[in-house]
Amino acid sequence: MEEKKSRSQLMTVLKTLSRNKMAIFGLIILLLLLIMGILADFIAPYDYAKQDLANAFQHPNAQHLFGTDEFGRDIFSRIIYGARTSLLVGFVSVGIAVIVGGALGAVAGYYGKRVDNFIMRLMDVLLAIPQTLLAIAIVAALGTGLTNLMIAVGISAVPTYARIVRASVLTIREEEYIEAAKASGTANIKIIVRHILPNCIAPVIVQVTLGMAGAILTAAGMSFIGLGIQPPNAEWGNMLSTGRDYIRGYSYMTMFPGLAIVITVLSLNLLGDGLRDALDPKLRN
Amino acid sequence: MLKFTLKRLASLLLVLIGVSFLVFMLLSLTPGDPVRMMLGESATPEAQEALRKEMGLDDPLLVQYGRYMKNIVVHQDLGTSYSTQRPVLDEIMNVFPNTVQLAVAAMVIAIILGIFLGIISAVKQNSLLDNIVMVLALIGTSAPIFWIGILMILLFSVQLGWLPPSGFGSFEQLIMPAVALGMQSTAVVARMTRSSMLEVIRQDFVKTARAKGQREIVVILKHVFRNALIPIITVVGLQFGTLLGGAMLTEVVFSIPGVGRLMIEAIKQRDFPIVQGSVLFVAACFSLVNLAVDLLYAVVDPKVSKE
Repeated sequence: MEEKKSRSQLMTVLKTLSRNKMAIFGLIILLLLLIMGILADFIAPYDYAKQDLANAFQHPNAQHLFGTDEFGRDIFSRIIYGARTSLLVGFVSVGIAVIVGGALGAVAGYYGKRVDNFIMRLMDVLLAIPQTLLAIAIVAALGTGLTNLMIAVGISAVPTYARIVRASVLTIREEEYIEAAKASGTANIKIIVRHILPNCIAPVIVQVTLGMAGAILTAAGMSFIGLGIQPPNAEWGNMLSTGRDYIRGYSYMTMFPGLAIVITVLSLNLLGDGLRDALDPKLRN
Repeated sequence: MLKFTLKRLASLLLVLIGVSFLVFMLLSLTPGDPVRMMLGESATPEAQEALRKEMGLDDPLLVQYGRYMKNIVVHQDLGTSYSTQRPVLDEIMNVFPNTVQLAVAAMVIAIILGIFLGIISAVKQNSLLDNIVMVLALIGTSAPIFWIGILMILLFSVQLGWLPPSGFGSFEQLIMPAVALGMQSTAVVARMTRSSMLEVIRQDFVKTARAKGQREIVVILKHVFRNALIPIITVVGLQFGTLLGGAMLTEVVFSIPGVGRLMIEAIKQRDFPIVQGSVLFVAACFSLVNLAVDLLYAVVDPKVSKE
């Protein structure tokens, strides 16, 4: 019975979502990007790091669809591998933020009082530093590179999820079935995981989608200023940073990485908006 | 209202102490020895030891933190830059006005243009104009500031030669960075203005105002917009954080000497007092702006301060 009900809810959500053309468009583009990232080894015509100085600074042509950079590396191939990097950064950093923030939010909301007070004041401290700045400060301490970038972007987004999950928990905490579970002697951790967290999923899914868009933008920005992923690794932000140095005469070098970022982030935003409309009719506007 | 203000000030102070502790510990745990950096690899162990003692670097971390805080409170001293040997606060204050000018210009663009576009979109809901504005707003929130900046340089500096591609000081030099930085916030403000206006526009008192024979522009500006204002103020306030973060990227794109570039250079040179000081300084500004927004909020909506 219960399974039937939750399935029909899921169907309603999917139905609403499928009627939203923009969201479906975003979803399709994302799936294409994902396939591109996963199968980069097979799709990319060239090795992303292979230098070919004789063919440096080639404008887009038949051999090099998007041209080549200052070391003769194929920009088309680098864009494809860049999709892998950006999506990986998006997934992992948001994953870190959801797990850490979600756990903190759930504990704060469930236990309340002092625990809540302590955790949320800590979140206030993190929120007092603008997100990009916080990520930059963390990278300053940890050093650059893919892993540290993901950690930094992830931690900087922790308060967002802590707040969302805590707010959901607070509305659920007083429900009768939670009391029933408590009365029957279920362990607190089990109540949180089995009964409370599933009820927070809707707002978290929406925030994860929009949050990935933000994470990819932040990560690209950090690579752009030289505090993220460094060349020769293929990352759209650091490609833009190089392109900026050759803007006179070689503007194609800045076109394609920039477009790639916009398309990816736009797709995530479209899907996120669609999911919000489908999952939470109250938030629709 | 006074009690509300004092309460908020007290919690702001606590948060800033938290920020200073967090940033201090974060950067102190970083590998790398500032003494060796300042003296170079060739310095004798004795010289290194002497400087370490002079700087108090062999004290326990908590003692070092205590001294750092004491210097801030008593002497308004954020430490000394490793690389220039000048006070950190001087270094920050040198470039801070540029960052403020940039952020304020971007904010003004975002408020004026964002609210204007949002109102038009709401009034002409579902028209072609509305759709165009909303698609642009969506792209505006998705495009990286630094890319927009590069494209503007490409068009207005390289191709047309109308505006200077870098530097700071003149009005011409402010235009492109402010537009690039303000674009994202403009988009956010426009979207929020539109949805907030649409919510109010359907309410009964708007019908009443129209039925009384009020001119449409008066109805929209006086009755609808004023009641739609609170969510707009909130979103504008939240944009300051985005703007301060984005200002760092904009400063890099347009080679503007601001706090962001100061900090990024300092990170690359491992000049941690500057990094520490900048983060704390920006967090303090950000918190003060948020406080101001909250107070403004309480003025617009008296219910807030009673909570």
